[in-house]
Amino acid sequence: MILNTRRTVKQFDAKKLLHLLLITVAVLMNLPFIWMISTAFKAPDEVFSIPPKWIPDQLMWENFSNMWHAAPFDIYLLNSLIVSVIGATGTTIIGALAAFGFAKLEFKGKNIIFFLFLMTTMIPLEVRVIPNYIIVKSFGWLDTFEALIIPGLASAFAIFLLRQFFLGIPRDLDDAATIDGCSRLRYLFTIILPLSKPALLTVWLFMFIRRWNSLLWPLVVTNRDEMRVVQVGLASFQDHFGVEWGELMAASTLVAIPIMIVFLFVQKHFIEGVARVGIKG
Amino acid sequence: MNRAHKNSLWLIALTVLFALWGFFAVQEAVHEQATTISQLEALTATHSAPAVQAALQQSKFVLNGVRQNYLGWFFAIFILLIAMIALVDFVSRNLQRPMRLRQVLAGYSFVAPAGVQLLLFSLGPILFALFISFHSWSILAQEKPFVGLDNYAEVLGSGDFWNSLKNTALYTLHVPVGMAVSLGLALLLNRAKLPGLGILRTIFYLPSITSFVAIAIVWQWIYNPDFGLMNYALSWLGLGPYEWLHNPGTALLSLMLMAIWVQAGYQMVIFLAGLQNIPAYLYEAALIDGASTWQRFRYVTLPMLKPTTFFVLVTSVIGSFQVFTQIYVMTEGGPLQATEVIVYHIYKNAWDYLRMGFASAMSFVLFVIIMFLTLLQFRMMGQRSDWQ
Repeated sequence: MILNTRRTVKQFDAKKLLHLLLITVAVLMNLPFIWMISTAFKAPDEVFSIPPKWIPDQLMWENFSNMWHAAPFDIYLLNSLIVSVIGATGTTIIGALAAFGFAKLEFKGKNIIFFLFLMTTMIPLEVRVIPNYIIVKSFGWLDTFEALIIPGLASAFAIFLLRQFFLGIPRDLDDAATIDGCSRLRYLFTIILPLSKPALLTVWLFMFIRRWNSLLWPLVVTNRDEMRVVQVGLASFQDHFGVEWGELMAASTLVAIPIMIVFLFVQKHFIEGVARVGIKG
Repeated sequence: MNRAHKNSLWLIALTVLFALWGFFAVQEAVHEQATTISQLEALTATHSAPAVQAALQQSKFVLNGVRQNYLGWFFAIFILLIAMIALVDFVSRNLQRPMRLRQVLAGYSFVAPAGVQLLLFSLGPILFALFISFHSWSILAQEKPFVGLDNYAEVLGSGDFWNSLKNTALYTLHVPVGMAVSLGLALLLNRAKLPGLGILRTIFYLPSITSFVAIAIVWQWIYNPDFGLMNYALSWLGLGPYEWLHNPGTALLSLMLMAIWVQAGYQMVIFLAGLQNIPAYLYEAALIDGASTWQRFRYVTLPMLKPTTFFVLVTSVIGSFQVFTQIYVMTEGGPLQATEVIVYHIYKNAWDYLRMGFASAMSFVLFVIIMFLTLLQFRMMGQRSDWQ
């Protein structure tokens, strides 16, 4: 009896210790973010203090207004929002159509085409960036939303993830719809898509985050300040204001925080999507 | 000869005709502009009026535009025609069976929007990159002469290229270390079945969804030699101060440490999914056999986790071959090219030195490396049950 109690106590302690350890690691992992937010509110002399000061004496909202006036962040944000929303929505729609074709329709050459689609994941943007730039330039798309949005509108990852989800929808539904004379497109939009809301949301978010965070492609296809997206804007802001840590961190916070907040709301779907197919955001 | 083949032949002939027409039409336009230019140039020899100069510039500009537009549209229409050949060929082959044809057409129409996109901006460009890599290609120069394998010879003989490849390979060494950290985290999280684990998992994952530019900026503070967090923390242990990003000996190492931090959450989530797929009865059987904790890890967890480990390894290695943003924001390849990785080297050659042909040759080498790694992954993936 006594032995039993002792063992439970010991187990309880071990679990508590484990939990404590994990929480410590979690806090350590987020120190960079905590510092980013705290420095965004610091006066210049507090930035350089040793030991690092985690809570500023006085909240310097001026950092945000200075940053806002120093570079057109409103335009950068708007551009990024346009590119990310249209891009993510387009990828989801195109992806859902193709995924439906691969999951629910039978046609000759389906497997070969699906394999070809998967092959495209082998060709990362970093390898395609020069030919794509020349193609986009020859279309006269430099410094336009077309250049920012259209290349990469179809994603093999999105198609793969949605296909896997559609395959899980029972075949009985397909047969019932066919017998009732439901057209394929109507079947997709009235039955399949409403059943796949979590998968669609996951794909949309992946694509939104991927677009929001991308640097190389927007950097290459935009030159004019009014076409810059937020990552390019932030990188060039850092180039010009690299020593103004307060303003720089205010800008970084502005760029990083919206995504983090959205992520916190939907993290469960999102992380499960990652676990399922191993896509990275 | 059956009807299907006849149809395809017609389309091929049409494509060739289109190409020829395009070629001659452009030649004519180019010729016309060139005549104007030479006339204007003759004029400037005698009269150097600003209006003539402006007209000359305008003509040169038009000439350039004609050439570039031709290239883009020709490329697009060519791909479209090839797709049409395949389509018409297929349709005519199956005309006798209308039911099957309808099915096929439905299937293709659903897949087509994505297919055209991937063809134009993914599969096509890799062939186009190969084409560019055989030319001396600058965006500014009008002449893009064919140079054969010269670019590749220069790539292979270039010390800077090998340096960037070496740096990339060294940088990739962070992957196994990071995986060990992530696996450790995953094992701990999998073990501690306490409330709040979902929140912890989310917190660990945060760096993976955050903008690399913002992360890179914050880590510049962490590595700041004078007031950064890293030197401050090490000073507790009586170490340092180190120069981190400012010293060629430690710059790449600093980037590797940061990469481990960024990757940990993503890798951990994948490992966690793998761990949860290991059936509990295996552990029960091992317990009955009297296996210790270490033995259970060594003989049950690790073998069962092999496909997951392989997946994480290959995707992370591929990712690390594509590293760009951190380098662009934090070091620009310096100091002394110690952090010049391959994608940054390509970027610099293509957009700073405007040597697109040379840079394309390097892109193609990178493509071959990545293709090899991905094929390896697909091969192993065949063993993962949820793939296909």
